[in-house]
Amino acid sequence: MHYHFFIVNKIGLIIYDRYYQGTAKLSANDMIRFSSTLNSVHLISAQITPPNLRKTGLKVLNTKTFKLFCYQTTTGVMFCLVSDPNSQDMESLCKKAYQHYSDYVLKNPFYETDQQIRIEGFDQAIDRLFLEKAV
Amino acid sequence: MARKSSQVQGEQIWNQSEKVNAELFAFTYGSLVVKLIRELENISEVNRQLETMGYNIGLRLIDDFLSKNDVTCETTKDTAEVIAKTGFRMYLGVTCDVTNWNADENEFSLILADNPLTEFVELNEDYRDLKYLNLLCGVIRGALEMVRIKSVCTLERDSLKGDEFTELRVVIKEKVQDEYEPDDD
Repeated sequence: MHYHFFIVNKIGLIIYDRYYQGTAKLSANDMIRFSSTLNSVHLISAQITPPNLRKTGLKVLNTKTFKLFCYQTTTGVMFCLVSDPNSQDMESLCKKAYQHYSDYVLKNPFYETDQQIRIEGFDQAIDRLFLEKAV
Repeated sequence: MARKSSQVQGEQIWNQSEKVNAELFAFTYGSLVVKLIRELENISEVNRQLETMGYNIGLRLIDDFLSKNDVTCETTKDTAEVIAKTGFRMYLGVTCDVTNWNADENEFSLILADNPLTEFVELNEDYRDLKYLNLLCGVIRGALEMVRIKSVCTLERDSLKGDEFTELRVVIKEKVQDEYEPDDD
């Protein structure tokens, strides 16, 4: 079951988010606070990675009530998914979401990079991705 | 090993992806170039404009490329190999060869023997200065910039101008440090 999916651009702003299973929406202020905290944690965890290991930053956060998964692309965009703690295969879902992003968002000539995503086709593709698997 | 796998990967993606008619593609590109020539009336301006258009394509195309391929490039050699074998295969249906490395391994040439874009093209004398494929140079520059590699790409030799093959020269200017590297202070 998935609760919340969002995309963070390379300067740390949330450019897209989607809620599922009746999850309460965050207010705009909370959203900013949340994204900046997430970004800092991501950067700090990369900094405290022991030498000789790949500095990938925050990838998975496991708690009793949810699991947060971050997939960062080589170009710096981050795809994050919050699901229930037993979720499997979150990485491949995020990769699929990345494919949809490159197809529906970046190939749209009217989309300006690093801006908010408001594209209906993309919404539908993302919903299909996360709701089908939830059953 | 990297060579084989990048070739196989390009092949697979090519087989999976939707295709457009090669002639339609070549004609569309041709009419784009002709339109630019008519509107700008200045060949060097056309070359510049083609490069900029390619650059803007590259900025977005790289995400499409990375989302469909699983690549990690450690060295410039890997990068060149992936562009030549996977990138060109995936988007143009041809592969090209990587040659002419300089001593520092930051410059290389991509040799295109066969190119769907130029199949029906003949350049007459008036357009001797036109860089018909300058868009490809822009694509490479834009795509590399998004993965933090600053580069310059030029059309060195052109089969349309009587050369045996088309050669794109890629010069890697700088690899921008990973943002996670600790500061000195």
